[in-house]
Amino acid sequence: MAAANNIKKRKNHNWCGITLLALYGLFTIYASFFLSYLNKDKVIGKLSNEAIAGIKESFILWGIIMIIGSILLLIREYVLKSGQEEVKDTESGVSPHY
Amino acid sequence: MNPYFLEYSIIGIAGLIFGAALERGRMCFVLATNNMFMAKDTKILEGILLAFGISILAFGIIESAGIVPIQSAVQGVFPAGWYDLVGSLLFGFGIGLCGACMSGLIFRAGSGFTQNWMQLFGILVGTIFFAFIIFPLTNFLYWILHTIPWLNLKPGFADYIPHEWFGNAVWGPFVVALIFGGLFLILGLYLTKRRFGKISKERGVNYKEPIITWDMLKFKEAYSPRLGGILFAVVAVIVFLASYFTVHKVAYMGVTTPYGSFDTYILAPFINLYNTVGHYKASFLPKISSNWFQIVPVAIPMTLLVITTFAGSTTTAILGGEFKWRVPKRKIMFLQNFIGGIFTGVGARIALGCNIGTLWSGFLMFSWAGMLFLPTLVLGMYLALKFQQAIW
Repeated sequence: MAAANNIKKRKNHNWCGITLLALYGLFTIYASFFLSYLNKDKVIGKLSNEAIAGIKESFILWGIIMIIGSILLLIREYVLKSGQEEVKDTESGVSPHY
Repeated sequence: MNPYFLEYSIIGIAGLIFGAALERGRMCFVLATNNMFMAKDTKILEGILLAFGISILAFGIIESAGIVPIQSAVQGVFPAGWYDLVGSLLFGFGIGLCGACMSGLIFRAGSGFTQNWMQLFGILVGTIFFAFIIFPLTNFLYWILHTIPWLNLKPGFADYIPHEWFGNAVWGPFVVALIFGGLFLILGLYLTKRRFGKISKERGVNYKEPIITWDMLKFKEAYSPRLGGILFAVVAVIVFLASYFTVHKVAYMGVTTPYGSFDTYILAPFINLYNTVGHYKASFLPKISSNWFQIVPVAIPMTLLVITTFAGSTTTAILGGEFKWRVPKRKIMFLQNFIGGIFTGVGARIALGCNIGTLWSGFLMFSWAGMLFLPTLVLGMYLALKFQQAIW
């Protein structure tokens, strides 16, 4: 009930969040390409080839998951249009500077 | 299956849960202390205390039951020393200026708070500043290793409280967990009870807050402090067990060291440029072998944890209808957050961690690091509050 009362009409910024989520995914994939190069001649945390391969695969997997997640949210937002009804401000955690 | 792939994949899931718990539970140390001192509202603080209490008890049980042997658990124990006191003072001042700690930064930036993105940028710059200026010029490692005998850098049993107090007794971790975890838990539950009593008095009815509701699961409502606390503990336990049963034996929670990795990844294309200009070696530029990038491991599980935590926070903010691109009215706040971010980054590097990596994980490791970090952290936040009151 409290949450329902808190709902306010405001501009929907969900597309920003969805873009952000996709960017996290792209950054994760981007980072994976440098793992072996940056690991060369390491003093601390030298990794084996097996480790680099496993970590790289995991980074790419999570990057893809985040991009898929952003696509699903995009569908929810613009095809199902269910995200647009729920826009509200945070109940707490908002700095007085805003 | 490649054990590294397994470890990183599981820790990625933990990050998503962590992000949801942070964003839905508003788990921020600065917000908790500000709300307590300025609005007499202890709700967020309760969540943090319960998170500490439950997770410390869980770690004590895991180690005493031998699920993760003590010998393995101590391998990841952080050392404790003067650097915790100095670093946490700077760190506390920095997060006080920014209005968000490391966990608060993630969920706020992930929910669209632009000034926290500036804080993050400040931390990245601060980390590089520490690596290239402070670390080499002050001979930082030497001062840690050689000159403070009263709290030395000795990994393992040296800073493991159960060993110091009870020797090799298997029940040692559980007893220590009962003391520290119990203290946090009792304080958290007491504050919850006191808040319920206060609301009941105001409303004239017996007020009770459910731990979990259907609306919380659908991200429509903020999480109760107790649910936030439980999820925090679940994440810490997943990370602990996943790393033990796969590769790292064992890993604790950490947030700021991954920012060093972020610096590395972001600057990776340029490092090559710095080293080689055409066919010539650019010898006037810092040598890679002596800089930060050789000191911090290039890939640690926590790096992926932080990225997926951001993803979890953003996703739950969108699903809860609370994502909003928020720009501060006073643009000077960007500068304040940038400077605060630099303090935060430098302080966290000096203390070898942040409020997650050294404070929370310090307690989870049963190291003195957490206890040394806490008082000067509070002092730093208090000074930042006074400083802001003086200038604004």
